[in-house]
Amino acid sequence: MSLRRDLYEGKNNIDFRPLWKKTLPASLALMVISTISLVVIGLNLSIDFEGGGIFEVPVSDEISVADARSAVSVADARIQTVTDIDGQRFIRVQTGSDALDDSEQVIDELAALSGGTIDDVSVNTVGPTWGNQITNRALRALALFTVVVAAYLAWRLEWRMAIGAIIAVLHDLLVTAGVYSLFRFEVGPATVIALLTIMGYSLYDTVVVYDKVLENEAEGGAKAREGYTDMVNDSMNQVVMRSINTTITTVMPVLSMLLLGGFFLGGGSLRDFALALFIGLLLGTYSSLFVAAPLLAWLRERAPVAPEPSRRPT
Amino acid sequence: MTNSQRYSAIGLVLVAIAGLVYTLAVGNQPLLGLDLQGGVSVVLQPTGPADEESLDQTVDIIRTRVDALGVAEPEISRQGNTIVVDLPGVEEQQRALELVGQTAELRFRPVIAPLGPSLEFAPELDPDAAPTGESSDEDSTEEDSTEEDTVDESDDSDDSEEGLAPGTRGRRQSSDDEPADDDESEPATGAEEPEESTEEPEIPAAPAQTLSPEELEITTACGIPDVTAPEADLAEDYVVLSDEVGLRYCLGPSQLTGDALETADVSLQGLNEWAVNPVFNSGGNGIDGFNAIALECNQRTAVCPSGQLAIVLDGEVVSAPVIQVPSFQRDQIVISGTFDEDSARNLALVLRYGALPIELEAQQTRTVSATIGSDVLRSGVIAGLIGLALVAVYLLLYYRLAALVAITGIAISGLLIWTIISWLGENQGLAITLAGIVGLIVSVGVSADSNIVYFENVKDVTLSGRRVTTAVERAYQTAISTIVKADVVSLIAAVLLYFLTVGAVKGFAFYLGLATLLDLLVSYVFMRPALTWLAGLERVKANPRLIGLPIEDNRGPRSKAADQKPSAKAGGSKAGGSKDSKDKEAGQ
Repeated sequence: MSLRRDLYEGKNNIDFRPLWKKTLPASLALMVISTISLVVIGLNLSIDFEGGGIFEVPVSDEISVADARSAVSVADARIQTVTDIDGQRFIRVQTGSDALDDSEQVIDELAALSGGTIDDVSVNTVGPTWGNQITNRALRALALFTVVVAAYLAWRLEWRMAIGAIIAVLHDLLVTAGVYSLFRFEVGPATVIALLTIMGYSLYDTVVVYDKVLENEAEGGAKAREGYTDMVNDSMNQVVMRSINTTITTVMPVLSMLLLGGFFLGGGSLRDFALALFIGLLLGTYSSLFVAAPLLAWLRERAPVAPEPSRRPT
Repeated sequence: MTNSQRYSAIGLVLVAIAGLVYTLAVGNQPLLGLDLQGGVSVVLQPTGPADEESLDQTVDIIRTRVDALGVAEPEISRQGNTIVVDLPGVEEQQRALELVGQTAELRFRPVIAPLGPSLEFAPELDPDAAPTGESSDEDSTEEDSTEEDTVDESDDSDDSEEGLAPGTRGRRQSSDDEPADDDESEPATGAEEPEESTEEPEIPAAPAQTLSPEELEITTACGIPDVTAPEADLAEDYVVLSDEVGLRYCLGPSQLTGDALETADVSLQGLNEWAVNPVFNSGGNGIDGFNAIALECNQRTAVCPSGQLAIVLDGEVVSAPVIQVPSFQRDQIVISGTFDEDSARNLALVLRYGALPIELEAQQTRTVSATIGSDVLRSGVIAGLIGLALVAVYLLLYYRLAALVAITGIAISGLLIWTIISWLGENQGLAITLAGIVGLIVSVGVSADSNIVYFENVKDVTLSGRRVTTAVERAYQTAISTIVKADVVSLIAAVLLYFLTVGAVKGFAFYLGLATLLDLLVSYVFMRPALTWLAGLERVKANPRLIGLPIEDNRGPRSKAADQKPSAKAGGSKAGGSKDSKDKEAGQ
């Protein structure tokens, strides 16, 4: 309680250094686990990347998965039922990319099964090579983004901060992907968008933290204290409340998307967005305080503190 | 706070309100993407290499086809060498898919009666035909069987439809095309009358008998003064369509589509006489179906009283040859007439690919039913509102009255965004998708954060001993610097994503960028004057806790709470001087 009060009144004086000693190895471990999981288990990619088809049709309560299985002629289709908030049941059929030519047939079969028309069937088909093109474009955008942002941060902040920020972002992306891999969450286009959002956020958070460090440095903060690390620690104390509040205000809408998305069928894609955002936002806040900050301190302590208090943020 | 700052802030609020009033008054509404209102989305790629020109041509042709569906806001765009077709709200989804896909929207319709030129000048009908450019000199053509019994070149020569000579343009007398069909030669003058009652005379054969409901339908259909509107051009209806030079035909229901064709080629018939050789599939959706209608035409039954079978492509009559024999073999059909090599090849291409200059393959196809779309929209909006309410409550609990600055700022951004996306939806056809909504929901967090950065900075400065009113000024300098840096990072992300990606990511990037720009605007123009005004209120001066500052009052920043831990942090970063001196120096 008293820590909370201190935080509120801006009088907190947490020593982050012992925490950093735990969080840096922990993050490293998480990154290693994530990498292993990505290599060994891989990602559960949606048809948008693998190619294939998803067909959904509203059905009455009497129609079971078994009925659907006998109605659909494609051999290795995955069939399940889903229910939306109004209690409407849907039969959902997922086929592989080799069955794309049979799509029209599946639509006809599902329309007949449901007793409706072919326009009642929702369809999502993706060609086998399409996903790769999209992925490649996204990766290219990601690479270019990293370079441009690093350059911008090196210019506006300083180059060590650019390195720290980029590593923190890669940490967030890698660990989020690792969570998706370990828990077999499906990765779809929504996930990719969410990951890109996370990147923006994580950087944003880190910029706020680093900017505070710069501000203190400009005021001669390092010399007034025991050194750069000490100053970073003080800066952390100054921004920690902002980080907590920002995280809370950002996570609340995402959490409401996640919970609502969990109950709506139509919210499925909403949930896809919200899950990755939720994981990533928490990681983003964590990494700006516990990865980016100590990295910066470490990078700076390796070399003697630069004499110039380069630029004032104001 | 200077007056100009105050006026800018008030001006921004007024602009936001004016935007809302304008949007409501004009009735602009955001255009919902197809994942929110249901619809069809297809991503097409050429199967082989394709040049810019043919891709652009393809986009035009698909747009023409899609217009026939009556979709409110179709979006057909080229992104690199892919063609993205988004049809939000389209009802006949499967038909839409067939229409934009690679198969031709090619129909074989029996000609009930040739009607002559339309009221309008023919050139106005031409644009539809322009993309293929094939039929300008291919006029009347004729099919004749090359089966053993009727293989004769004389069939070619006896197609007497030379009335439609290549040079003929624009308005023409309807009698010009009559020589083709020997039995009925109805002048088309009656067709120009809008009233249905006067139409009967022009319907050949059928109306002479009793008027069954079907005949009535024919009468009605053929009686319209001009061609059938594209959205009413349904396969199962009687329609009036024109050819490239504006000659209209009353046509029966489609009997066969381009699917029935396997391929098509050209052949040289005489010295410079080219002909087109379509090859049908075998079976019902192929040569058998073709022969069924060929028989009707050859016998000139009520189904096909004129004896002509029209080949209709994308709502335009490409050719309406007279059927000379009752039965054909699937690969022995010759459409001959006055083709030169180019026009023959073009028609063959049309038959093969349905008029698209390149062959396309659907890479991604998505249909969303209207129900699922509205479910998504509903859950997205509810989630957004709940999230917004939670954020507002939290900010109010934490920053008290200062939260009003944040909430008003978010409201201003919200109003401006609503105005902009409504305008873009109405005027530019830019739709908002779920990804966009997520981007906007998330941007609430960004806006709140800008305020939080500012408020926390104010808190820091007051803790170092400044008066609240001074702190509001000083903290702004550091806060805005941070906010700009952070927002620029977001903008870089938005711009790169917008230009480097396709589809949903692109839409998301757009709204992320838009929201970030508005956050910058609100931070620059509104945040400081609003908080300055709030901090200047007598009540707030007397009790800074009202705006979430943990100090007792304006004249005693070092409260007893602060005294308990005198040096914990106050000396940290801020060049905090003695409270008394700062106190005096402070001011507006």
